[in-house]
Amino acid sequence: MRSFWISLAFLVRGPAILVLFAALATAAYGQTASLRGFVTDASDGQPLQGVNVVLTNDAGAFLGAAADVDGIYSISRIPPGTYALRATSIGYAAYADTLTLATGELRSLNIALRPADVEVGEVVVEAEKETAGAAAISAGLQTIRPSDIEMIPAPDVSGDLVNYLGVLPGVVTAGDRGGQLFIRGGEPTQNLVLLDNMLIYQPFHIVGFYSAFPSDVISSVDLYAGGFGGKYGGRISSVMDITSRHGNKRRFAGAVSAAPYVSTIKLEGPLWKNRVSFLVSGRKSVIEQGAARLVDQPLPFDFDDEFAKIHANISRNSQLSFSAIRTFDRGTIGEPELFEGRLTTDQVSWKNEAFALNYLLLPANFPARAEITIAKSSIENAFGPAVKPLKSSTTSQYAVGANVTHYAGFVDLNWGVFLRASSLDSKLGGQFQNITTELEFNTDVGFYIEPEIQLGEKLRVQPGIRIHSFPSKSRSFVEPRFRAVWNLGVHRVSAAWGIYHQEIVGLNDQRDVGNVFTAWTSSPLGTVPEAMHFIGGYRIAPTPWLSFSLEGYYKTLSDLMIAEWTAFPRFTTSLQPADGRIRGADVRLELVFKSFYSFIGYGLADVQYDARQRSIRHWYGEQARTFHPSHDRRHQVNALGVLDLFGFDLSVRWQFGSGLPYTQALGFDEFILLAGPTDVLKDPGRTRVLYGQPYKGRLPAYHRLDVSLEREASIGSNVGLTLQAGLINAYDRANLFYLDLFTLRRMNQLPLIPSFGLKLEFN
Amino acid sequence: MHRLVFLIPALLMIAVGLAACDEDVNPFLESDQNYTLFGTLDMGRDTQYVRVIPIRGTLGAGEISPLDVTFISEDLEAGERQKWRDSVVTFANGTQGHVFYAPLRLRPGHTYRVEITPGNSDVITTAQTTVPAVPDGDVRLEELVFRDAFALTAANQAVVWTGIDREPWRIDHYYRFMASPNGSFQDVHIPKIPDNGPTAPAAWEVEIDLLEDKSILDTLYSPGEVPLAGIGMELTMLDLAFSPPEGRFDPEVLVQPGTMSNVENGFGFVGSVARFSVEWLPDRHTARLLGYMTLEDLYRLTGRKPEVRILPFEWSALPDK
Repeated sequence: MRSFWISLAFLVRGPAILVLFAALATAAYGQTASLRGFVTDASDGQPLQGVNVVLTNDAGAFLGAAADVDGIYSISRIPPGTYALRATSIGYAAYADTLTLATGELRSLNIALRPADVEVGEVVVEAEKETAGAAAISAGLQTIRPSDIEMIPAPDVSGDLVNYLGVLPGVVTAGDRGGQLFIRGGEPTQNLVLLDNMLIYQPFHIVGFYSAFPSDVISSVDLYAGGFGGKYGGRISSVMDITSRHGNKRRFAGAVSAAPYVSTIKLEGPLWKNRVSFLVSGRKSVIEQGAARLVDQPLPFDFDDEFAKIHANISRNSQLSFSAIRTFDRGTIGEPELFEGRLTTDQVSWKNEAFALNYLLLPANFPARAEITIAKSSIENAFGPAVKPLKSSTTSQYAVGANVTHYAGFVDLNWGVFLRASSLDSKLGGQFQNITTELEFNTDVGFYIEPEIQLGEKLRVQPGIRIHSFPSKSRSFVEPRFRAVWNLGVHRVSAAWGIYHQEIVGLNDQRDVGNVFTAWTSSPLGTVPEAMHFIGGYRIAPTPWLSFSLEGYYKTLSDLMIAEWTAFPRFTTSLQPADGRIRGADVRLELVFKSFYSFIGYGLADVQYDARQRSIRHWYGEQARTFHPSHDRRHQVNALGVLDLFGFDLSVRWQFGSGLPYTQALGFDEFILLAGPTDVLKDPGRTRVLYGQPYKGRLPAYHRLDVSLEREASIGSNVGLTLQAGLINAYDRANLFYLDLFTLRRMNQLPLIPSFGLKLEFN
Repeated sequence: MHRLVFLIPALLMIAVGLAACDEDVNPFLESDQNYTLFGTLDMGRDTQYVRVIPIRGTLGAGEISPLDVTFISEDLEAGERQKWRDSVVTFANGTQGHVFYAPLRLRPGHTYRVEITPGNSDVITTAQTTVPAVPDGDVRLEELVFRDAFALTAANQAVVWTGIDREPWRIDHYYRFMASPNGSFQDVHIPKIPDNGPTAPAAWEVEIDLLEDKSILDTLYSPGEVPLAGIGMELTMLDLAFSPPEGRFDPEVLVQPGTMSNVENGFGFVGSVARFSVEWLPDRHTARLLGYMTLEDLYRLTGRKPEVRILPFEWSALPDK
């Protein structure tokens, strides 16, 4: 309770401190000038991230900034005078201008860069977020661009974010069926996924090749594999902050594509030329009609997603956008069984719906950016016989928040406030017997302060604190964070540290990998999962075509909730608390040439949980049982090669993962409860699984080769056609998805699948 | 760069090489633990039974086939070995199971070892249980308490068991009635009895409310017209190996393989149970005051002397020590 009052005091005083700090910062820089604005692509009005905006003068002054994800750049503490301005980015013609800035002036200058096939000689402003590159990782943060995603072979002409994520070391996927992502040892429900600041609860489709994020609606993705800053919270593993593209503000454009897995359509254009644009995108799976016939086996999966966005430049200094997304997934699990007199099959389904209104402002009077968001997210989950689901979960969240950055020369002061109200309602059909779930409402409120301080020319540190309070639960969390990046020419050293809590957790039964049913609820065992992350990394880019990075991480976990082990062969169980630790390292090597690209990543991970089930001390004589959970992939190798050959793009991807842990059994018998004299002539007993030590066995290694060949052709002045052919699982490796111990039925990942697709685009 | 282009064919070659790697998975551990045994050897029975469950690789037991095993029990104190026979029992739920049995009278305090030797393996599955010994103490009946010489307002009697080295698993309290003139008995059990628990080291006290018992018996049996042939109490004592974690027979805990198991090279539990009883007969006056017909009343009515002999305050018939 004491921590609640302390947090409340912070909450009340925090904004006052921020206002004071901002006022002081503004006053301190009254003797200098500031320059800021938006950088966009002149061809379609898209914001350009990573553009270097540099001011120089004859006196040798050199000031600069890199544009952020919204294309915003800001240069503060500029001594008055005349400067040469130059804005450069790979693939665009440089923008040059001459500016004279007066004392105290706050100049807004929006820059539009024209696409051109030119190369930039050097990168002069280094930001923590890189614009591209699989090896460009800083303390767990990697920025992903659509062009990165497009390189990955997929059974579709259009790329999808999830295929790129699967290439990264430290990211373990559940497989081709039932998309789940484990990032650096964290579980799927511990990942925070945001699209345009709206929370997406279950963003990956039931078929592992697809997520709710096709590459052609993505502008950029910031993936924090850990060590994320104070802006983010409520999850203990990772953050995926996705920013969508704006629609084309100059002209209409669109695309349709067809492939054995999905059919897609995308349309965009100006609603008010140069001011307001729209973008709509939709995908519908055709797996049962297409891919299932190709592989000659049932693939009972169905999904679709729809995305829409309207973006408006309200003024030179402000923008407003409205984004909305809906996804739906349904998949059949297991064999048909008799239920209430009808032959039916279990199915799992979920539906995400979310929308967000984002208002982005560069205030007229002081150098800052502010983003205000109003968002709503919801998910509905169901599992059970198709005619009557036995388990269901409905969760929704309304969120209001503001993220502000004050540009004050060597300090960018980031701060934000948020208020969220959640409704959680789950019916678990007794799956977890020691918890009860009921409709509940949660409100959480908090703020963060996170100055980004440039110390000298090379070191940038980002200490922060996040205060997060759940008044209805009388729970508050004080979460310190820290990030640092040290640029030393071709070398870069980075580090991150932070404490994280997750009050609202996703419950699923990790014993059943084939079932992705997840129920969201407040921490049901009275304790809140907590994690502490440590990350340290090194990166070297000795030449423009070679970069190498090595990053180590260590996470401690406490008060997790995992399913108890029971020898009764049933799907109901209880939840038990567990602690854990994760350690590992990622190695990435990237080669970039004009017509050849290659990336090799290696991930080493060791995930360990200490389960505290009541019975453990009886079985093993220990208070806790240490084991490696089912997603502990010890070794992982990903190799990607992309070759531009005679106008064809040949893309080859090979992935290898060492075997995942599983629990072996000695066999089955019957259990008779002998609580005294028992007549064994009358008691048949209950069937029992005689399992060995939990997760002591290892499944066979996973490896697969995917190949795709793509050719783009112009079939008119503004019409393009892309043809793609490929092989998924080219050497038909029988990778195991799961083995049902009760039936000894083996379910493999997808076999060799020839894929082909075509995409028609106009602009 | 041109050399790097060869990376793709190199990857392909590695991949094709790996394609031949082992992709089988065996969900089962190799083990010498072949059988699960469950059973309670009971001193109160002439024939003993133990369920034998071969550990199998499928969830369902399927068709039961004869077991190629030898099942032997041995009284380790007496050195007597006995071979048991197999039987296939069909349970009420339609499933079947092997239940081995043998005529065997247990001796209190003796240790019995059962062993299964498969015909095709040298690995012997064994379990061992020690039958609780006869208490070396005595049973003491406290005197009845009367408040009035002619009307019973309270009639309590404490039964104190001494020489008890463990908590009885169950205490049964019953009244024995002569059910027919030819001397057959009927025991009527009192559903709930107060248990004062251990009153002293190695002593156990149970206090009986005779009037309360009578009112219970009136609803259960209408005993006013049949003579009371005795009052009895039976202690059921378990083998000390009946020792569940935290003292609770929680199936969620006990189901876990190896928990409360005394089977070597296998799973399950084979325990033993002993039953000790004492009987007594209140005097005629007291029995009448309590509202019972006595044996003497029956004799007077029928002219036939009952052919029974009540042995008050004596341990009930036990197997030879």
